[in-house]
Amino acid sequence: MRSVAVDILTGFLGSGKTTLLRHVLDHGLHGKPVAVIMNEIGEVGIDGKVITGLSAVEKMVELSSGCICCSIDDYRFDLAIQEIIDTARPHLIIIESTGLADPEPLAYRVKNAGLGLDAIITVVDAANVGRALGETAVAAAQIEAADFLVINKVDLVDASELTRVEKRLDRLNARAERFRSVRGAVDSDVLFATGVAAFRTRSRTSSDHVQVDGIGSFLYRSRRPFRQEAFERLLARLPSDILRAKGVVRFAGRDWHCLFNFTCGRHELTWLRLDGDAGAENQAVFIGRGLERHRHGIETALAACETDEERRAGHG
Amino acid sequence: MVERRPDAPEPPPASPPSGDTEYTDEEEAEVRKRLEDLGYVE
Repeated sequence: MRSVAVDILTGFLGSGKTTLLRHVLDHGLHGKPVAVIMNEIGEVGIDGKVITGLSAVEKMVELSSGCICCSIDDYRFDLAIQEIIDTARPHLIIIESTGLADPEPLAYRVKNAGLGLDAIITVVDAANVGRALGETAVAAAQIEAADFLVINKVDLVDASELTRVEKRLDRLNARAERFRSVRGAVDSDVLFATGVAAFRTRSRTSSDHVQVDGIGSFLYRSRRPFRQEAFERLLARLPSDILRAKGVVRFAGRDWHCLFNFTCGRHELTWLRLDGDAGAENQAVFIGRGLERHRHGIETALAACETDEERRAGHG
Repeated sequence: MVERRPDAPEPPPASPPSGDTEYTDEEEAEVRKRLEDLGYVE
């Protein structure tokens, strides 16, 4: 269960979350098994009807009797997650929250349920973000929690207004990577967990490692275990140009393998026992901008984390 | 700059508890495929 990833899609009412989700499900998930949890307030789930029927969606569950961050209890949340995993066996679950949900408690629930939180994606309505921020503190909380900020409806504002919006977002959350979109069309693989595999493929097949979105990737592989403390320190100090890093590594003194996920300055470790080839080497992919400047330094730092010390005596 | 460190995950025991971690071949293949799809391994 722990290797199932969760992306949380949030944003204020009317920002375009469902439109973005529909676009991504149509174009960007590379046929991977994806399940969607839609949370709407009210008896009739309109947004759910928009998503139902898309071939990319293995399973969709609607939670329509309360806000997922505060009024749906842990039992119902865990039940919905379990039902999805048992019946659809997804590799990624996308939770689209209500427009009034604070994503931080939801992220906490996801982690408590034993799932890997991949990213929080917040959609912002360029034309109405000022009004939303004035109406309720939740709008600011959604922006502050984001790993990725999608500024939607940029066609509805002029260049100076867009600059003002971006400065305002930067004051609330400088850590998040920002994308601009019209009608939710974000053509980048970097937003959702299943896109990372595409960057792995690119890093092997592309000569310049940089695609149309300006985001490139490189792979690091090695066989010696890492010192955990040094590795975590490296993750905490990665340059802000690195948007994502992900992989399986082995730490000295541990038989369990570590799945690490770094997204826009935030990282998480989850643990898994792996046998065979999957666990024999460290594998990490780094995704970001300006990799020609950063790659050598990161590879050198990774090599410095390695140790000849094997596992602790008595543990294997 | 927003600083949002994750809650420190509970580290696993150094060794897997016996009897609780043996995958069947089918489960192992499923985990492997999932990790590939999510970009952890290739």
